[in-house]
Amino acid sequence: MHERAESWSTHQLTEFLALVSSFADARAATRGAVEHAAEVLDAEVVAVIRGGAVDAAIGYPADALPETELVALADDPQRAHLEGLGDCRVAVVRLETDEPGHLLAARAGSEEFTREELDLLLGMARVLVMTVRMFQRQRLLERLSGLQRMIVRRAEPPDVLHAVVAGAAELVGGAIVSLRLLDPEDPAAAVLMASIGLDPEVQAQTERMPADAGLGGRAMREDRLIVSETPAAMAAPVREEGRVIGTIVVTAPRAGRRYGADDQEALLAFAEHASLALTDARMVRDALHQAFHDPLTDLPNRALFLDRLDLGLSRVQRSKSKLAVLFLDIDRFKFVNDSLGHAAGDELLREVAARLVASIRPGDTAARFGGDEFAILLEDVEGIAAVEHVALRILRALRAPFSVAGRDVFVSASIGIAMEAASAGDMIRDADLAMYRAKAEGKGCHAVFEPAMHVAVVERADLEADLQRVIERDQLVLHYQPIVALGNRAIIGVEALVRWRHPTRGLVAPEAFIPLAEETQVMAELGRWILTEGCREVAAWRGLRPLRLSVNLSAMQLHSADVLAGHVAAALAESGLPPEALVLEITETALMRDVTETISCLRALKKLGVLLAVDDFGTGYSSLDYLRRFPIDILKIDKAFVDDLGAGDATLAQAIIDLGESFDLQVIAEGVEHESQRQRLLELGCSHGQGFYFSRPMPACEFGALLSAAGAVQLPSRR
Amino acid sequence: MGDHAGNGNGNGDAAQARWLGVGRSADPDARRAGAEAAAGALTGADPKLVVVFCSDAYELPELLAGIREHTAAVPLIGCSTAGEIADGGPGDHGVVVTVLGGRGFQAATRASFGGALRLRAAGASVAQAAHAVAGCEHRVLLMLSDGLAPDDQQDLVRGAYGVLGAAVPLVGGLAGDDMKMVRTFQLHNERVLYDAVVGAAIGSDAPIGIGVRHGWQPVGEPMVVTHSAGNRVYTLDGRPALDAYLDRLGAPPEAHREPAAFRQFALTHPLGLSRRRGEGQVRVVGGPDFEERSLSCASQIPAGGLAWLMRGDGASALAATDAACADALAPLGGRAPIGMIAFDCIGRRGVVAEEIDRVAASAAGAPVAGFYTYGEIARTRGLAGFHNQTLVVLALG
Repeated sequence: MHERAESWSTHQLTEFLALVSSFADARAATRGAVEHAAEVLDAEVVAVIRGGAVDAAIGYPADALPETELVALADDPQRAHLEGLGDCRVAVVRLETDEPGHLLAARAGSEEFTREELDLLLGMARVLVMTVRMFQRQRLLERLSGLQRMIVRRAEPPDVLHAVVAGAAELVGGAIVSLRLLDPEDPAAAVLMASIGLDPEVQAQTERMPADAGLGGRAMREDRLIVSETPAAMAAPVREEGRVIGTIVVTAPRAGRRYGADDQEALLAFAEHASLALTDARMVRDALHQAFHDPLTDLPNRALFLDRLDLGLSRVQRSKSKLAVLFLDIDRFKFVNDSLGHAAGDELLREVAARLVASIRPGDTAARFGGDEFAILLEDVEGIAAVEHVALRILRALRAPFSVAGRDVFVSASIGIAMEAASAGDMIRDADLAMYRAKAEGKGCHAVFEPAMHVAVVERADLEADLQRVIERDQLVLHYQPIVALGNRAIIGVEALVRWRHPTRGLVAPEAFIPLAEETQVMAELGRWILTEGCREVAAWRGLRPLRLSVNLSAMQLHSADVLAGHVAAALAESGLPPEALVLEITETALMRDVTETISCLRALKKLGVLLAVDDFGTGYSSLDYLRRFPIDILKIDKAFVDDLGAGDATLAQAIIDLGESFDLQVIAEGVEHESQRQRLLELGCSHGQGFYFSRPMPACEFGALLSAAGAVQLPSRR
Repeated sequence: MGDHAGNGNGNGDAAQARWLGVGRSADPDARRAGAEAAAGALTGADPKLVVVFCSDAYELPELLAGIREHTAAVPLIGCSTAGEIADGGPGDHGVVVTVLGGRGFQAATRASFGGALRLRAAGASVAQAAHAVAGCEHRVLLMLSDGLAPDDQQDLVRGAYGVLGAAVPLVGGLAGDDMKMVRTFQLHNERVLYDAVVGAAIGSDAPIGIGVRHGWQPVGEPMVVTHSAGNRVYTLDGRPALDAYLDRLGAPPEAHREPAAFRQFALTHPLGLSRRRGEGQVRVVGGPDFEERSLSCASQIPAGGLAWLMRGDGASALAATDAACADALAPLGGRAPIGMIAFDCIGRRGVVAEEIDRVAASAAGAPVAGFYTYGEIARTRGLAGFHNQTLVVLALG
């Protein structure tokens, strides 16, 4: 066979190539190569030595590998004596890899390796390096595409990071691989997210590390791959949306290892995939957050609230705990939005959201449903008392002025409470109904759901629909209540009070529909009608007596000062009523809602020459300072303080009357029902009053008749 | 009846330390044959290992029972053959029992079965038996394997070598079935197995020698294996392998068509695989596929390799016999062996009829046992340890 020597080695090499590339992975190919080389060269021992250690070997039982001896032999391949072989000849060729390596063959006996055999061994070494590199590239691609699949399938980021670390350990060949991310709360610390090969004790100790420590710290600082030779280690930065947020570090398994271009490239690929996963997860997280949060306030949105409520309800069924839903609506939010602009409205909503969150426990959920509607989920509550306590706390928190668009704005909110229902949807609906009840009961308060509210809401809906057409159907009428001089009971004026002559409900009182009108935009029109109608009728009566007309303004009307002033001017002009005969009454609460705005509105009205009265004075919390700044002419003492007079308590009435005196304001007492009250008011220095004691409000025709028939200027004394 | 050939070595102290006995029988009654051969082999005290070579014509459980009448629980391996060998020469449809004993011997056995496609694992598994004799100065692993397993028989050697390394030589043969080519059997202690590998690790305080020779010579230019997969060769020199092979050798027309004629022809016309030195490895060609015109061998034939057509004659084969015996005896340093075991390819039986006599002669009176195989195992150097058309001789000092 020696005559074919040349083709012998060529064919052996072809055979070798076919064999090693038939294996499934680099490890198996290396083992197969070692074995095949031994068979072809009749060598008892063949070994691949890399970085000072035996990578694969044949010729020894696994537990009896003379590693040190073989490694030494690779560096100095003299004629040798090997354990189990006795005297032998050794051939060694270099493996052209990043890391110093050798392919070694040892043959028992004294027969030297021929030149041809050495060439064959060299050829085998090259084939092996090529094949292993090919396998590793292939494996790298497999690992990377596996990671990509994980990312696409939205695997949990910790799982992806573990896969990244495992991949790096396998393909970069690191004994210790660790991946750290900066602590978002404390970017000076890097937190261990995934690792392989780390001693458990070390792992526990380095769970958190200073972010600038070690090779990883450098990689993050310099935002690039850092390679160290002794000890052999590499670190690459991990990024999120391009920003460095962590690092992956590999440390060589043994001395003599060197990380070359292939290793560096592989580590960068793994770091990039970690970055990809984190960026993607962040995007998903953000998208998820966006899908379930209100972008303005960052509170959970309706969908997330419903989800949590569902969850809470199922928990309630298992345990015996209770939960409550609070539905909150900011009273007259629209006025803020319309008058101060949407930016201010948004600012207010954000601030309201912050106060809501601050008013509840961390485990509870405050959500924004849109507009000025908020919902609050209270879990593990003891009972209705505890829930109402929270509602009161919230209302109190909202009462303090909001600083919006550079001014102080006062708002109140109405809260509806529901504590049990069949489903999340029902519960929200019930709380919503209760909220409307709270609004109807005067705003700034709360109401607990009762089944009867379902009926009420249907009524309200009907009423709302009817209200839309109240003017075109000419269903409004004005009643007039005389205002008299307390001393001689002479009628000095009338307060116009609107009534709704409803085709089926009869006469509806203003408390039942004015709030509704305010919410549904009918108020502006309604307010104008009252002004026009009142002015017209009183102007006609003034032929009989110089009467003053008092008209109530709603808070909403105050928010559009120009429109209001226009309406007032038009009503005066149309009727010919002198401005000084028109008193515009504004409740104290409405006045205080937005002080700056109120002042400018009142000034605009004052320019027309009308008089301004503060209604229900004493019920709000206006400061004297405000009273001084408002161009007020009249104070009206709330009925409650007049009632107190009967009980002997004159403190507040006296205070108001004194106040009027010192600010030079006329004072009118409301709700005078007894002679004793009249007398006491006179004693206190109050000159005018109104109330059932003098006269109930009466239709225009009745009042007109009273005026003309008797020519009466004084109302009769009663009982 | 039965040709009792019991023979023990009776040379002084050394004999008491180690002994080897061989018994044979051709009694058609399996139990009696077993008992007779075992009794003949028990020539000393303290038996350590029983090795059985037998015809698969016997009712093997019965045969084993007969052997166990005399050998009780002594570790036992064995296999069916294509002919049994003992001092008297080759025999058929009989049984040859070998027993090793004395305090100079240690032995341990293992079996791995159901592993036709896992010969490497089987080799690694039976090699574990060697741990039991790790303390002995001289060791050998004797393996008997399924001769009809369709995989690469070299894997058996690779598997064992991976566990043992160069320090423990491997020897043995592939079981036969009297050329029926249907099923071969392996024996392990009380069990009759098929599709199995059985192994015995023998440790001795005296040298053990192994000789491996075939005596075939390459003829003409080699052919390139141009297409192959595993053990099957599809093309040689770019031609359908079956035709390239038969045409090159001028085979009779019936060998082109008939399996039996082909087998007969192929037995004496093996292929030689290129080896760096020495005789190179010989492969018997088998498994002709007359449809796709391919052929197969008992081990992997890698594409790109070279294959020679081989030629042999009585003279060269006999020279090989002598050389194999001399190689086996060489480590004994001139001392006579206490026994020899031959693993002789069935393909040689017609070519060198006097081979067994030559082996017996070299044993110089020591007992000889062995069998005609479907393949031979001998690894003393390098890693290549599977052979065809070869005589393997194990000499125990």
